Amino acid sequence: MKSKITRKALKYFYFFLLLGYTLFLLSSLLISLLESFSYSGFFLKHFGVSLEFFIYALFGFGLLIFLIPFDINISQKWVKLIKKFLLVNVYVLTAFLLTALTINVLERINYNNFIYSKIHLQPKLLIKTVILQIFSLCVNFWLVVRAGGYGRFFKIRLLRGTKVSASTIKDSILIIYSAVLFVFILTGSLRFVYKFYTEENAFLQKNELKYALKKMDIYQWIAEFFPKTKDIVNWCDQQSKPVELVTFDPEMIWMNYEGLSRVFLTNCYFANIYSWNKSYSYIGKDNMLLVSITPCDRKLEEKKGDPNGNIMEYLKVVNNQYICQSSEVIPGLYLYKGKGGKK
Amino acid sequence: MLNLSDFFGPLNISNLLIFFSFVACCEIIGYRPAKLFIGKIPYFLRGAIWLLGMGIVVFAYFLSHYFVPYSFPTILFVLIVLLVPTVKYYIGEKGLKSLSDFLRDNKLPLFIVLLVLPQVFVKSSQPPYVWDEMSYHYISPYTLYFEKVWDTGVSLYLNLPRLLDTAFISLFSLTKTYSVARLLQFSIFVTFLLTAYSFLKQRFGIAMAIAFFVMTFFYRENFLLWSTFGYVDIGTTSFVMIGFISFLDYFLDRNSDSLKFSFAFFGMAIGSKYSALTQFVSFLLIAAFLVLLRKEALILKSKKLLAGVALSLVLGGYWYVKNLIVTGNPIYPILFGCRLENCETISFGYTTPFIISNIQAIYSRIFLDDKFLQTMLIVSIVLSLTLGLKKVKNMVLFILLFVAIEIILIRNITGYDGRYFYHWATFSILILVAPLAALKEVKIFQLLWNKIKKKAYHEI
Repeated sequence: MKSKITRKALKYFYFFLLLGYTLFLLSSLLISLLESFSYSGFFLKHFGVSLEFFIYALFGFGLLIFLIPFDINISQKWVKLIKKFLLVNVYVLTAFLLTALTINVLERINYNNFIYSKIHLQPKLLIKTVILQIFSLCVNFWLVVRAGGYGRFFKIRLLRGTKVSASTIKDSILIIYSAVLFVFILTGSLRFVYKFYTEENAFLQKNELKYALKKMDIYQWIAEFFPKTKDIVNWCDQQSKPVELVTFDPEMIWMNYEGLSRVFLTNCYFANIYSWNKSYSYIGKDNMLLVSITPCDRKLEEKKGDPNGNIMEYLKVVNNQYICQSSEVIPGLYLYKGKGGKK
Repeated sequence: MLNLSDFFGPLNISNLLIFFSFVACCEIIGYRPAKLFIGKIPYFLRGAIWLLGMGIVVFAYFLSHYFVPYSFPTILFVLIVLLVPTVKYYIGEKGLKSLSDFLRDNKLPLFIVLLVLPQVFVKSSQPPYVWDEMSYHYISPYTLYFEKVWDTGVSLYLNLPRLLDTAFISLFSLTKTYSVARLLQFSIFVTFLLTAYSFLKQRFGIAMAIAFFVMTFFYRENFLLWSTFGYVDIGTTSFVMIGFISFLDYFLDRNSDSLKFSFAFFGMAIGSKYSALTQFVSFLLIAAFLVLLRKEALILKSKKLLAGVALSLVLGGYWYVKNLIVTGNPIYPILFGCRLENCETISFGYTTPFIISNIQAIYSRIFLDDKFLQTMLIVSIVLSLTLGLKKVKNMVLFILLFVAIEIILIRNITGYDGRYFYHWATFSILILVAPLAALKEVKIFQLLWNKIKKKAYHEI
């Protein structure tokens, strides 16, 4: 037999657990209501948090009451009370779930009605609510069935005087940990699958679907993603023999997404000048086809590059000189014939 | 001349058929060497043998590019040459039956994969669109057809280990699209998860296995989305993790064949990306220590280690030999420069240095700033170490040791960057789900289980 103090402590423990659970339940309801009327950031943020707390508290409570054995001679009054509480809980949750589902459907079809105009519940939040509701309902229902229908098992654990040993505490901690992880994995996975299909980057998503379903061809794709170099890629595609396109422009070599269009080249390649050594073998050459997305800057034309300084700065100056002395073949592609070669 | 409209098409039936034929060829090619040179295939690794085959195919394709271009039909010849000595053995040993048995036993995760397949189909169908895949992982049609043999030089990208990139190129040469290459990396990722699932189910119970599978597969959108990119981080992490799981099997069971397999997979990891090098060294140090601890003749011990290193060399280490020959430094350009002029160096300025003040920031980024998971990780470490299950405790300590050695090795070279340390996120998930292994021991579950069994018995 446990001492009187331990029995009292356990009773208080259960009492506070019950109280905490009820508070969480009420607060989540309150916050969701406040949120639906106010539609402001604060509640929006806390709505989800309160729901998550609620589900964990519920789950933890359910399992604790079910699993932790204690040896107090609990009165039938208490057992009845707990059973009743669980039943009421099921009714409350069912009502809440049905309301959430109805509002969700109304929101989804954008039906302009009283609920829609007065209560601004967000469908996204509601999906989460519905999932959690269904889950908590299942847990509660399970507990009720266990307590009412097959009651024996529930009562035995609740009433039989088994000792609270180290292993049972350990088991309980483990079960709570597993349950929390299980809830997290379940909700997280559902959330993930939903998010995986509806990414935030709608532009990309839309084009991706079009491309996968062959409603967009590679030329259209390139035009969408490489507005400045699309003409060069297309020009290359029309060449009848391999062509070398020289690139001094640091934007094309390192910095700009447009430079990556090189992966689509079929009959040309970009000779990227990325090192001093490579620059020596090209500077001074005539009749080069140059690629640059940086247009000629007349103010920079007189500037001399420092061959001992930063390579990027140097190439920027060299590129500008070349582009200013070249004629444009198509946008972004220049023909350099030699010094004074430009018409 | 080449026509752009022939390239970069989305996934279609013919591409998929070519892809599955390629995987089947790899499976056949990998089976014989795995059995003859490595040893008895541990059950959990049965689904991953095609990866070893892929490693061998890439090695042969790599060698062929010293003489012929990458373009079609080089890969076809490579596959035929490798299939000739292996296909008969595969049929004789009933390789297909053992594979289908394995898949039947582990079908549950495959159903989970079905949930995301439509979106994976869309993501895989895309032409190159992410930065590094366009920059150097994927090559242009021009390079595929007009680069006659290996282009060597000091350029940053020319001397990196490119096992996975080369596998992508081989599929590109067959189908003229990278859609199948994206699918290849996704398949590698799923293969790793299947291997892990099978291993964990066998050793720690189904609860832990399924939790690990689901958590890793749905680790935010990162892993899944990145497995469809040309970035090789997910593929490399998959190799590292399969190697680690085999190593864990060796650690728990002292099965020498598992050690050899882990050498093979770690070899493939270092062949895919430099970042796997520290994991390889960390593994090598622990493996050497464990092997030396065994009560065997020294010559046997050193033979084991040397055989392992040789395996790693054939399946991925050859990229370092190539680099050594060309630049004079096997790990150019990450450290020590090279013997040529105008050598380049990589700056790791964008990574977070491993210093005390950054511990919190790094720790929080392993789980993408998810406070809940961070807290749970600490709880799970405490639980795993105190629950009293020896193998769970050993596994967690083993992971912590592995990571600690890795940090010591890497802290002066580079810092933390999420995608270089995906394996840490995976380790963390493994630790998070580790306490679930003890659920089997919980009385209430045993009671319930017995009750269900009894009921079932009575019904029968």
